[in-house]
Formats: sequence, C-alpha cells, structure tokens
Amino acid sequence: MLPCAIEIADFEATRYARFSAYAREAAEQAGLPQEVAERLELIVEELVLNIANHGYHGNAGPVAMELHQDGPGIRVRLMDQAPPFDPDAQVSPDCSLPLSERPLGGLGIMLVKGLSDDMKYHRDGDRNVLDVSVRPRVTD
Amino acid sequence: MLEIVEQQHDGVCVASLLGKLDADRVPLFEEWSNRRNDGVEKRIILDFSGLTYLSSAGLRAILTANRHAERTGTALLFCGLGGMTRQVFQTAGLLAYLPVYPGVKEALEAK
Repeated sequence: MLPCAIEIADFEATRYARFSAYAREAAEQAGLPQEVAERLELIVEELVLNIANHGYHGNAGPVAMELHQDGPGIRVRLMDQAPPFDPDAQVSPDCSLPLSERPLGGLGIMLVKGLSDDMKYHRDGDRNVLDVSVRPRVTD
Repeated sequence: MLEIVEQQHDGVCVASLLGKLDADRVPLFEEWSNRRNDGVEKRIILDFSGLTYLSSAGLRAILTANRHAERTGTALLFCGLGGMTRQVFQTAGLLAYLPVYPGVKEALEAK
C-alpha cells in the first residue's frame, strides 16, 4: 500500500477529510498500530486546515500529500504553494495561563507538535515542504 | 458522525458525545452547547467515553462552551477521557485546568 500520494489542485478547508481520512486508511491498510493511524489522521487534519485557512486565507490552492513507511511508523510529506510557513517554528500558547485568558489560536499546531515524533520543514522554490513522522508510542 | 445523547442522573444532565468531534462536526456541538448552556442547568456532565476523535477545532468549541457556561452559571464537568481524547486534552495542557473525572459516577459525586 505504501508509499502512496494524493494531490488536490484546488483544495479548500471544507475538503480536509479527503486528506485526513485517506492518511488514516493508508496507515491502517499498511498494518500500522491503531494509535499511529489515529494520531496521523489528527495531524493531517490540523496541517491541511492550517494551509487552507492561514496559508491560502480561505481561497483554493494546491496541496499534495505523500505517505511513506518509516520503520515501524509512517512519514507524511505535505506540500503547498502558500507563503513560507514553518509550523515547527511557531510558539505554542502559554499553558500556564488560566483558561479564561488563554488564546484559542495555535492549538492545532500545538497538537501537531505534541502528537508527532519528528518534524522537518524546508522551502523548495515556491513550495512549503513539511515532513512529519509518526511512530508507535507506549501510551501512559 | 457525532451524536449527543442526554440523560438525567439524579437531576443532573449527563450529555454523552458519540462519534467524532472534528472540524465538520463543530457546528452540531455549538448548536447543542448554545441551546443547553442557558444557565438553567446548574451542572452538565460531558461524557467523552464514546468520543473516538477530537481535533483542535473540537477543542476550541469545548473551550468556548466552557467560557460561555462560566458566564451563565452552569458548571461543565468532563469525564470518560480515554485514548486519543485524553492525549489531546493532555497535549493542549487542559487536564489540570478543567474539572476532569474518570467516569460519570465520579463526576456525579463531585462536590
């Protein structure tokens, strides 16, 4: 099953499940643990919604995704042509603040950072290229 | 899909979330929460044991509902967090800031 890829030329936020459900199914069919498939689905939802809402500001734009087996885990590569954006360089919301004062933005990237096991960003010409690894974890 | 099933336990409203709370299902949750968080109920227990998926969009909706509930004088209690939903709460740094109980029974017994 892996590697596999999907590309949408005119991606919009409402179609995020095309990517997240695809990623989850591919991980399940590759025989990866359920918790890896679940984290992957969430990570892909957060990242493609971020591209659509912030990268393309709600307009349609091209997004491509590749999935590769990565030892006992999976590596997802997302590519878009929005302005340069490195999710890994974003500062997470301050979790020491009381809930009523905490900003509601930045939660998605915070989840991606916390639930992935490795993240590498680079700019390739006019494209953002983000590689995220999800490996099996011992749940506590 | 997402379903919100309400039951009364000892006069307390227990709302069970069944299915997925992702970006697509946020409007359904918001509609329920706007209707329910009207200050009439003193306490609502949100049971997450049937929730299989929670993304940041769902989390924002929960935090917004919590702020709204605080203003109207309804206490939201959370229980049944497991697997992914617990990981998401933990990763977002919410476990220490929200009243989270193991199950409905413990939430009902909370003072």
